[in-house]
Amino acid sequence: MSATFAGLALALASLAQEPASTPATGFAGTAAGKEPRVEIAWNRFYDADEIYALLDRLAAAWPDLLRYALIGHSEENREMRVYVLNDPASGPDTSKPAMWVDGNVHGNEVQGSEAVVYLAWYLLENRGHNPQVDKLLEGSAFYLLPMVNPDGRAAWFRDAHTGSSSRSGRRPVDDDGDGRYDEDGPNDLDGDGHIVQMRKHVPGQGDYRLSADDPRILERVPDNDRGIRGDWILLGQEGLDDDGDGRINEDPPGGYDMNRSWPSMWEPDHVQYGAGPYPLYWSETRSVARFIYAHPNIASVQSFHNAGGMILRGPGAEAFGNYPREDERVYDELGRKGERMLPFYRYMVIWRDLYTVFGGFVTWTYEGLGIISFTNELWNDRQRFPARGQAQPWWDEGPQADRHFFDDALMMGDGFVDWHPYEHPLYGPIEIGGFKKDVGRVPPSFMIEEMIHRNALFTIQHAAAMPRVVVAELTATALGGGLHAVDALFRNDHAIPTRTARAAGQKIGAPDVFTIQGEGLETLAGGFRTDRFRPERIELAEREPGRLLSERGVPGRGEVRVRWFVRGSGEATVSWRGEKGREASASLRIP
Amino acid sequence: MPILSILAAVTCAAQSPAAAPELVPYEELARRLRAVASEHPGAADVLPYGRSREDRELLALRMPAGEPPRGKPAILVVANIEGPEVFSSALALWQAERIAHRWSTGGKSLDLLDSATLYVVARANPDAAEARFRSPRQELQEGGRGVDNDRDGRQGEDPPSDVDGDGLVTTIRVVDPEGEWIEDPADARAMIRAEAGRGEVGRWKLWPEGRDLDGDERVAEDPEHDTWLGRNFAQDWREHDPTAGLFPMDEPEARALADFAILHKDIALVVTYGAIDNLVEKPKSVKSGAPASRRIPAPGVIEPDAEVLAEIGRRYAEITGAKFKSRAEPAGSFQEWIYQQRGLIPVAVVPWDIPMDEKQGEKSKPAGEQEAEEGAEKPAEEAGETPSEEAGAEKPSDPKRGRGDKAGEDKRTPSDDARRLKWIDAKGESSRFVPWKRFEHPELGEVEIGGFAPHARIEPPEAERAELAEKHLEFLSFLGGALPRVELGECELTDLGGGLLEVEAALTNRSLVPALSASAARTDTVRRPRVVLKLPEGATVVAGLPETLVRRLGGAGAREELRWLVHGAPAGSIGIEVDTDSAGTARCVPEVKR
Repeated sequence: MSATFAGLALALASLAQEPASTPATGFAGTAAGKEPRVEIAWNRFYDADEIYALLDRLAAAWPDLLRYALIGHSEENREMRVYVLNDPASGPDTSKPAMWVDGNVHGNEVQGSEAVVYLAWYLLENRGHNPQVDKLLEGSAFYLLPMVNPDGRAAWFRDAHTGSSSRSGRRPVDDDGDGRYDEDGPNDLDGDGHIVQMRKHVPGQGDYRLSADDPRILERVPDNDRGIRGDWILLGQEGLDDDGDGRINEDPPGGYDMNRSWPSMWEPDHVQYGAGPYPLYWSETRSVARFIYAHPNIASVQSFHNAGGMILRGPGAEAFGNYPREDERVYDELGRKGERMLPFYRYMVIWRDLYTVFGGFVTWTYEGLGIISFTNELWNDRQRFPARGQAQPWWDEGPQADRHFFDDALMMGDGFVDWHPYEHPLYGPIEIGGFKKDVGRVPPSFMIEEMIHRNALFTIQHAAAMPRVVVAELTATALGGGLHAVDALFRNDHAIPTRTARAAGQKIGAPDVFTIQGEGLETLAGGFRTDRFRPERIELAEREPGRLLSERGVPGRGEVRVRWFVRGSGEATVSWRGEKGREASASLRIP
Repeated sequence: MPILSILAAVTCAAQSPAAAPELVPYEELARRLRAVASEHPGAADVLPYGRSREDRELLALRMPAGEPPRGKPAILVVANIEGPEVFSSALALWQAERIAHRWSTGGKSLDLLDSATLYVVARANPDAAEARFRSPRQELQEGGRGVDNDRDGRQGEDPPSDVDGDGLVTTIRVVDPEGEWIEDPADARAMIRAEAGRGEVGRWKLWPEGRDLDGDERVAEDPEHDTWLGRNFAQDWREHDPTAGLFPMDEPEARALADFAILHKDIALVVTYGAIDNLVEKPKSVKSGAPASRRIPAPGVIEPDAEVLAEIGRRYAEITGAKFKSRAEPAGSFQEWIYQQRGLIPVAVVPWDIPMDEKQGEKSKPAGEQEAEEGAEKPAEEAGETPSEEAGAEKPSDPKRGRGDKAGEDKRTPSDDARRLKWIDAKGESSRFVPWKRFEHPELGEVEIGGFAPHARIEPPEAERAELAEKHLEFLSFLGGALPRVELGECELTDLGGGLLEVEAALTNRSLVPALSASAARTDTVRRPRVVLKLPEGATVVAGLPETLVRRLGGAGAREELRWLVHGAPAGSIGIEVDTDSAGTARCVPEVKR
């Protein structure tokens, strides 16, 4: 591994501060009485520094299992830390199939980071208590990047924002092309720490009116021939024309999208907003790509975003065509499982069911690297009123009224800034008000834990599907004259193949290698059997029969039969080696 | 020949510029680039802009030295992106030395540096270029990342090599039942693909010169490095092609060059010397406003830009008479990226190739017509022979892509390689072709080794280099005079009464090169000309914006009209200013219209 490891000293230093764990029945995440070794409040969100602090507490409590690799720095020089969760007792992380999990590539889509921390916490707390977790950690590793965009996250927590602003990283961009950078972002006019809406009372000249049921709500006046007009107009987000160009809030900090930066089916800025001058332009994206390219053992990818309740996969653009059928089957199995685990989430194809994305992250990890990859959009407004189920429409009184009902009844109105007057330099007397940044795209505090638990467990189910190859059968048949046929059956009981059809088709990574070796044995021929009942049907290797290469690898829930013809006697060892699985080998004695 | 030129480079001090371009290895090149700056104060400074994968410093010259005046347009000259194109690098170095020398000796400068800043990247790909100076000699395209080309689980285990020990890595031909190649009837030294439609049966298999070290019955199929720098840029990048690199701009040289071009916003035009041409053969063009397909713009050079290129191409033909076509593909090239994604027009020059006599089988035209169509003849051409564009033959010279002549014709015309051989024979340039010679290959058995020598098609004869370089410098000077210049004209006031003034001006660019190319108008990567109306204290703009960003301003007389209404400003107190990043600045004081 090329990246440097740090944090070990810190981990040792703070180990003593953690309470001793008292294993009991049940496991963390249930109320069955097990005291966690590290207590974390899962009903709040944490800023960029706090996220690392949480993971450092976990690393201190489990120094053998969790440490971090510093993979680079963000635009504002924050550390980019990939936490490596691995049990070294069963081998280094690079010897195992690994799952990459990240969150928060969009700075405002914060809850993915908590989901990443929760995943680490859940696995660590249950290590030694839950046999399934033990088995998972014995056979696989996790690479956890809690924040792809720590600057965007820090800004979203620190500064006045809406739920949708601070999506970009923080490298200045001249969005309006006037030669000045980031000079006209939203302004917190009233200094209350929130960017909300501006409205103006224009009696008889507007297109909105106040709802008769709730004057906090503006309703659009229906088109009519009766001369009925509204009394209000909406003026957009709180702000000024800072640069005097006649436009408001048109050049905010940053101005790009780090989930449009990845090399597969990338298109430039004028085709795909936010793509940047070339793929992996920003240090954050480049650091991530370098790490992933350097870890061909990554066999699964999960990326956490918000919002809308989606389990997304590629293709991101129609022009790609369809994914190969074998890989679609794996996607469908995991995606449908996810729909059951994540109520109100739908399993969707990005371009077909959402919108076109060129150069997206999970499309790159699949199309470019051949890795089964999902993006989850965490949180769905429907989850506030689960009794309504998936019915359309999903609101009772209208989306705004329902949002107010929920905020009034369950949050005591905490999510809303009441309309209040303000003297605007351009618009004159206006009113400022609206929902705060943490309403809409992130869940309320009391629903955070359920969201991140379900998503973390979906990720664990995905990780458990990473390939695991075993030598299921190994026999030798005497053919006479000191010649033996050695038959080996290599089986992968997990859903994901050692090489996806995409990887095989595009020759991505290294082919799998099947070998036979042994003192006193000479391998005369060998190949892959194509018929389980007719051993003579075999694709013979043209050379090096003791070392067979395969682009297709071992299929998901499938097997590969190999037959070698050997002369001599002694101990024969057959093995499978591939980039995305632990080596499998077995031996038998040839008389 | 190569040894001679290296010696010449070492012994030649930089006080007076070399008479002709000299091919020099990296250390010598770097020394001479630095000498351009140190020995001609003010003429140039050195801008290191990155490091190659093998840790060579990437160097650009800026001419003249120092921060350029605001808005002064610049030309970015880039040579030797493709590893074998070392002659192009010699040409760029020679130009820089010559320009600096004139700067020092000619009082001030030649016009070029008055009208333009030059950024000269003489060797964009120093690692691959260095192979030119090693023994054995080979044309090395590949650098950077290596992949397991033959998918045998080993990387780089079967590279090309000099099997017969003649100091050159050339080509192997071997009689093989699966062979697809035959000897060209016009010249048995040239190989062409057999065409079943003509009743031809392949006889030879062609390989790069090398061993079969991994015993897979394929020769030199897995070199140590794989990325072609000229395929690693972000436009039309061919993912999963081993020569395209791991991802766009993965190679440090590609990224550094891209970043250099992004950083220097004064670049108005890009000139490349190397394997890609867009002057002799017009690139595919597309109507402006052609519909996108699934959001991806229709490919090609947008028509207004194609016209600019065509005009530059006409001047290129007039000045240089050169007719050398691309020997590289545009996908993933720097030129495609700089045009399609940065909105800058690339002027892509192939400095030299073996001239092909294309008169055979064609009627000769009257001399006058030839002159008009094809410009001045190169001295390299044989007397009485006129090269022409439309050769009947395709290009069967490339074993990977070559396709023989068109089927259905009764008789084959000589292949391109046969025509190149004709030039070689006529010029006595016999070192450019190694005659096929029998050789006992350790893995293949009896083979023949021979073919074109490395760099045979790239490096002109010594005797022609000086004149060729002078012509390219003249062409560069022409380009310097064609750079965009904003001007403000018709700067007028009309008194509408009551202290209300109408202010008008026309923003124009009379130069050939657009201030905003059609591509730049699409990419929005070139800052729009900014027009600022300057008013005295107390005056107000009644109509219009005090600051206007002009959306389009092409070249060749492009014009945008500007208009404001102003209140409370005495005539003569109003100013109009325009500033750009790469098309100059202008100001005017509107006068009362008569």
